Amino acid sequence: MGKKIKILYQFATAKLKTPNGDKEVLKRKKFLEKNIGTNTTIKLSIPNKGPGTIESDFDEAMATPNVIESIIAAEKKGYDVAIISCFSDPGLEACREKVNIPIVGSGENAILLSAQLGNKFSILSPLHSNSFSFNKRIFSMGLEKKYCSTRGIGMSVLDLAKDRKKTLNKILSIGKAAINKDGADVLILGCMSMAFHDIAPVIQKKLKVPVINPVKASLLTAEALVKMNIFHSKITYPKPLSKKIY
Amino acid sequence: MSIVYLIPGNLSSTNYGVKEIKRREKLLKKWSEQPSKIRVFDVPKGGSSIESSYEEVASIIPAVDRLQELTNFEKIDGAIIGCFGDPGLDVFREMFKFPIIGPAQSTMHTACQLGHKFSLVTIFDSMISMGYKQVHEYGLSHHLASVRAINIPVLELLNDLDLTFNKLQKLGKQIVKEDRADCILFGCMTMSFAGLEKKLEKELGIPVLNAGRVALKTLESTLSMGLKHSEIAYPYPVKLNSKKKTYLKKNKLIK
Repeated sequence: MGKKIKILYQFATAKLKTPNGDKEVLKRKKFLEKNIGTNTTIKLSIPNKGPGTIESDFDEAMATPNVIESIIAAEKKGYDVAIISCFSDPGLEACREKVNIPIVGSGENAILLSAQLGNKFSILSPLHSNSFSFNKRIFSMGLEKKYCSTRGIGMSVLDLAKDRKKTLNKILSIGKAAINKDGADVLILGCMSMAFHDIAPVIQKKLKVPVINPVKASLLTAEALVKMNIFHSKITYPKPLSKKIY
Repeated sequence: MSIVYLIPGNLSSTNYGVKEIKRREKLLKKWSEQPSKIRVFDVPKGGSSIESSYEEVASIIPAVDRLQELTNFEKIDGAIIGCFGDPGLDVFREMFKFPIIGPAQSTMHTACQLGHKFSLVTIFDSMISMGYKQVHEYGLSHHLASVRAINIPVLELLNDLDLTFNKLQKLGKQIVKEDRADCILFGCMTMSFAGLEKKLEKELGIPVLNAGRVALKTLESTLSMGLKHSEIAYPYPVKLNSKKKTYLKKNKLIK
């Protein structure tokens, strides 16, 4: 049924260079392949330079050029859609200006989905310091009325990727605090390493609020946009004037 | 197991008739991942079309009752309210445990991923303020460029598709040029099912969203992620029955 869809899944970090990176990438590949439609193929694109994780504005700035470069190449190679695999969506707007294929930002997409499932969403992030850039992000998306809080679980991205059980327990206790103390009614896993543990259903069952896995959500949106033949508005994201980059 | 697209009015008894219901069902099946699951129903006790706040409110309880009645016949996985006013979205979500999608809510949030400012095309000038209110309610006021009206009644939109398209094209050009919108939403389900969005998109060069199709995709995605609306945001009405009361208590106890 329907046409074949080619997704480029763009990592923002040099994941293979990190300790046990090959294992983590293999886990992600399996998860991604399990969660796409029968007519869809997915290619992982992983930068071989740049930071190994994104936990600050500095990391994000260092990762962005790699994302943009790969996505420009992906359009030329005939991909139908690209997903930026990082909750901070590094380079999202820049890519949308530069290419015509739809670009899904894992963070933006998950946040917009959460706004439809309740009145107040909270983001669970690796570290508390992530909340500063997330706050800024929500304001730029114009969704502050629906935003409840960002809570860090106090684990670095690499640590939480290593230890599924500890991550799950931390998320459960911090998630409860977001619901009971902050007043959240929807939770978002605000980090790809959390999402690839595939723990959203367990948390949802325990905490009894919708829990959004940004990876699954990004795949579904990417497929839906291609099927509906929908692209970004070129008024919002006009092609940059052609000029020499020195 | 099925996905219900519920038209909150008595469309069968209008000039469009049962054949229009069948036509919409066929289109939804074409857009769907699991065509066999889609069913379109209307509400025999409802009005003919919704073009005012009064008609919107009046449609809610008969539509909720109708969906309740349908659950007696088969297991429903999720439902779409087939009106762009999303009449009773909160009410439906309080009453039913499966996901309920409002086409306006899902289409507006999709538009936020495609550009910065969207415009709605509604039916009459008298409905423009309803559009503004709806966007405020969803917390998306920052994203609204304008609401404009086509001024063709719902039940005449499909009579002369050339006329409807010409009016949409004229409005669309104003929306792009004067209101500076970067995305257009068909603010009426009959407009969405007229099959004009791609032609208009080509003329205007910006995304034009068919609310029926976007709502369906949103529901399918929601279902495949095992998600539904939050029960903290939409708790079952406490007084309705005692059995449900304990259910609610259980859910509230998160320690």
